Amino acid sequence: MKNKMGQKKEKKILLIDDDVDFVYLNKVFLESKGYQVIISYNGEEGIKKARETKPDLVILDVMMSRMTEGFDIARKLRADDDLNDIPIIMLTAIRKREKLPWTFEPDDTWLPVNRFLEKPISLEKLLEEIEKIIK
Amino acid sequence: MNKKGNVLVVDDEVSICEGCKKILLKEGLYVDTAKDGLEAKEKIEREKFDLVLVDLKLPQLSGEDLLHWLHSSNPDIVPVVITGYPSFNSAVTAVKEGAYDYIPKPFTSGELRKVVRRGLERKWLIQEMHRLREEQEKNLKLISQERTKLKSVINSMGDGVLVVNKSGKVVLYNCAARQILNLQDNCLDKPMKEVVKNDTLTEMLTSLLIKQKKMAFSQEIHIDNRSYLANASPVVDDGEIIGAVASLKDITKLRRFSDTKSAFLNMVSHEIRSPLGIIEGYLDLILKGIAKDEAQTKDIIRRARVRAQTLRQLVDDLLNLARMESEKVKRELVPVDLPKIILEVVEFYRDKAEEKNIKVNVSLEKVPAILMDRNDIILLFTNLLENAIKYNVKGGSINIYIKEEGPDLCLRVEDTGIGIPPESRERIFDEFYRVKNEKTRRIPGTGLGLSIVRRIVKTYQGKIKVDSRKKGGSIFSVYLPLRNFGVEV
Repeated sequence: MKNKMGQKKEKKILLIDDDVDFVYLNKVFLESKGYQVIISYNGEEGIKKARETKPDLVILDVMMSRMTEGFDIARKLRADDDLNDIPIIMLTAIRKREKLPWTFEPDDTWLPVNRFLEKPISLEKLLEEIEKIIK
Repeated sequence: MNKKGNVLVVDDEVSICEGCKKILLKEGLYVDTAKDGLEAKEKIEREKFDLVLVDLKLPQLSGEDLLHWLHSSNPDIVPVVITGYPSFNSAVTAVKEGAYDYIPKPFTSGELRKVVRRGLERKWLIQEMHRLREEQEKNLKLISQERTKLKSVINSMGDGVLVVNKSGKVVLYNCAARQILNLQDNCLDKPMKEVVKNDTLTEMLTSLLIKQKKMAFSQEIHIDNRSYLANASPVVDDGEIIGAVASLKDITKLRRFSDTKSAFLNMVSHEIRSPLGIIEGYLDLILKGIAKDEAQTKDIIRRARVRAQTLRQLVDDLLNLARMESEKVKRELVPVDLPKIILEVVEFYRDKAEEKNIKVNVSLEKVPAILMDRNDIILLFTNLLENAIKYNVKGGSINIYIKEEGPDLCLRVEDTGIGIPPESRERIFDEFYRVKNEKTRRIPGTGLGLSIVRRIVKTYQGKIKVDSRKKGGSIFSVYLPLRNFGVEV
């Protein structure tokens, strides 16, 4: 299987989420699809790992130890000259949980991400979204 | 006195007096006579007469003067003038001045009867008229009293009432409506759109007037951060809509309650949905044969199982919360031997504690029995003990004390675990709040345990306190007032 996806083997994905199971689950799955997966359970550590590993994609949760941690991290990544071209997929359960009346759309100024997806998300759906961004 | 009527005949000619008396007595009337004006005055002052026959030519007090006096002091008495031809003119004058009728001398008995009958009839008519007028006045007074009463009732109502007429002008509103709608003084007769600042409400009433629908309807409206249930109904008279009435009921409390419930339900859905998503993902990994080897397969299944377990615990916690929320819940208050229950629960959790090599020390003083529902106290202590194990470090310890402290029974659970950051201490009792950090990340929990504990403590009018140990770890102290629930041993 890995051979089949051989050309993707170099691609690195940084997964930042404080739900250990969500991270584990997607790490196992994405690794089986030939990605290299780096994990982090909090935002600040995530930024550090982004600098160290220069991933091809960051998958970022919103609500971690703080409600809007993900938003802040996304902005910090965009403000960093070395990291601002890394695409970001943001994942959240915030809308459903807080019953917000509006939907989020990625926006360069306050929500600088490439894709905004709702949790829970199936493995296949997330993979599909990843492949749309990094081929 | 006579029911048919009392007549006084005043004439200086005795034959006239007696003649009249004879004729009128036959009519069934009471008749008295007076030979001059003074005597007549005396008799009228003493007795009650309905009709007076007066000869104008009288000694002492003249007929005219007598008539004059009668008119001013006894207007109810019908005066009839008896007159001879020579004084016909003065008779006419007398009539002009208030005598009801006159009878010229000489007269026949028939003429007399006719004049007297007519005079008495007039008297009865006047009386009846007075009676009717009095009655009417009484009724008017009653109506105005009723109106005042109704107005008081409407004004005392807690719900706002606003009435508009067919052309949308305000015709009535009560105190509550004035307060709710912030109405200025004197809104009566003004178009409601000018004085009522709430568009929803004015549209509701207008729609009734325009559409001529004879149906009431309700809608929730919001004014100054409060919620009201506005009910609009047409005012129908004789099958025609002549206006519309709105009542405003303050439902702010209900609205807040309902919002809290919705928010809670929302949280619950999220708390159930997330782990289900994870479990689905784990099952997918296995179904697709993605696991590298048997060890990883087992790891995946184990992880999925923990999430499923937590989910079941969540449902249990929710059921417990629902049980406590329900007012109908009947607590079975029995004298509870707290030390005995504590020891039983500790024994039940012995294996779990040993898994992490945690030492559980129990220090029990002899305490009074306390009136509690067994389920409540078990649930309370179980939650505290589970936390003390869950958030403890490997090889740590737990100290449990029960003692009397002042007016309270104190149950204290100390652990040597990861502790609670000071900024979270207020919030750990909130529903679904969990401390999120490196140390708690891998510890499963529902976020409901301590909120259940708090509710139970509140039920027994107790207190719960959380402190940190200097060497790390938390101390939970529950105080249950013996005054209310203690039992003499």
